[in-house]
Amino acid sequence: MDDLHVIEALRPEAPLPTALELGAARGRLFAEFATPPAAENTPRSRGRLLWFAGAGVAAAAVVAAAVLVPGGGPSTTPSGPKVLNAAQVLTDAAAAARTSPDVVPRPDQFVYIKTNSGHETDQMWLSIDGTHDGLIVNGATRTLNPGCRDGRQAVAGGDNTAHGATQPCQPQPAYDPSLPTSPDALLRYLSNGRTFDPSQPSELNQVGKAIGELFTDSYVLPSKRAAVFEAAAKIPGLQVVPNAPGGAIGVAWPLDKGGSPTGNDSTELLFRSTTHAYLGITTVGEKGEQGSEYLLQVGIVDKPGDLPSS
Amino acid sequence: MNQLSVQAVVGGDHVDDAAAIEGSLVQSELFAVIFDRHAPYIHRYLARRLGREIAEDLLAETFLVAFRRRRSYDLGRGDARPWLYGIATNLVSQHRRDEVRRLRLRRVDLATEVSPGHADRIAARVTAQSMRGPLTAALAGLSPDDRDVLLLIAWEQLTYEEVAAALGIPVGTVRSRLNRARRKVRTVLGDGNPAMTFQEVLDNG
Repeated sequence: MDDLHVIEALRPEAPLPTALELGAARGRLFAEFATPPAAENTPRSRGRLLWFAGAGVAAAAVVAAAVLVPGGGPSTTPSGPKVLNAAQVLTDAAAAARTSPDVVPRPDQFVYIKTNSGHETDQMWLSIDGTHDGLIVNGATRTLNPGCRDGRQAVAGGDNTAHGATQPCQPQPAYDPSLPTSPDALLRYLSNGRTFDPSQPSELNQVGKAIGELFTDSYVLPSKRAAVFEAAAKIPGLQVVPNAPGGAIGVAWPLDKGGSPTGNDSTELLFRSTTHAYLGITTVGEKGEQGSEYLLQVGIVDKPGDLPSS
Repeated sequence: MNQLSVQAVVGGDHVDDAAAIEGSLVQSELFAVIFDRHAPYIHRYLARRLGREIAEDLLAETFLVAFRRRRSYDLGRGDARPWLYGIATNLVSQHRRDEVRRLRLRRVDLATEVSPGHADRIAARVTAQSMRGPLTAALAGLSPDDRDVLLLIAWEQLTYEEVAAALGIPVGTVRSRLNRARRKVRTVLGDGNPAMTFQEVLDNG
């Protein structure tokens, strides 16, 4: 059975509204037509103002006394300890990544990724080339993650009647050998092929999330993980949050309030306070609701269920 | 575009959304075409996600935001509905707690209409009814970004490209978010038979 059909069947009852029900909204729109254009907001200045306001609110929701430090140049407090900038943290994270050797996985192997959301631990065994059957263990629940072979994949699920059914698919490799290493090419890759424009908060925000998703959804060679952090170190405007969740060091990405319709979360990449090795990602919504994904372990194994040696 | 009258635009089906929006830069009222064409569907989307009580208010907000941002509309796109879905989704995101609570408390009546005929859809419907609690809990547990993508596709039948345009994200990101959301949903569907081992699933699958 197609799980998308199940979700579709879960759609709440909601008939198309009558013209009468739309009347109030239509009336408000027509009132707006009569408003002189001067009252219309100017997205650029408004976005910028809210960016700063929002960053403060989001940070305050995470830590009691966060000090936001501009990522631009090295800075120290007058008498206190040395204050880090974002580029330094990211460069250290690259160095920490490089301490692991590069071992290129075979197509028939699996990447083991163990994450924790703060509520539960997930373990995934994802096929390196996307054609082998993987496994996802979410708490005590084990689920097949079917590989895609010859354009078809088994339909996963515990419903016995559906077994044997297949659906069309495209292989989803857990490892991309073509992941670039130069900063420009990497940022373009993380922007899905578009030229990266750091002046756009929405694009910055998306690249922050793309980095977190890259590490929790796929296998990236240590040297390329380092390259990702080095590319991020070149992005202007990132901020250090010294006391991020779990005692980590956070690197906060600009909040987007004016551009992308969905980018209005603050996004922080989290790093160990000691070595600045990568820890995970956390997002904080406008009302302080927080979602985190900590990367606990990543390794290459031969079959689902196996655990990496280190 | 100055020559376009409200009547000409309202009366003519052949004027696409881009032309109406471009015209509305000169004559605001032309934006009513966009409302009349799309408001019912955006209202239904908002009602599905947050309930009818909130939908009416958010519908008005969606179109006010759209009207104020119409200068930034990509006139290369003839259909404005994905753009409107994006604005509406942004407004939904400001009510995330309401949505999660609604899903967790199962304050949702499942739609009674069934897409005709297809056996798989009937089976899906039976599954949706019998496993409604765990499934809605799974939806509530998704990250908001993943949930937006999943529901725009599964509930609103948008294509990957339309979701990408709606949310201002690359198609590759749509795909990866959808995959992640589906993996989590499948976890719940797999829960229906907890005794089954991985090997058994492989053998039966």
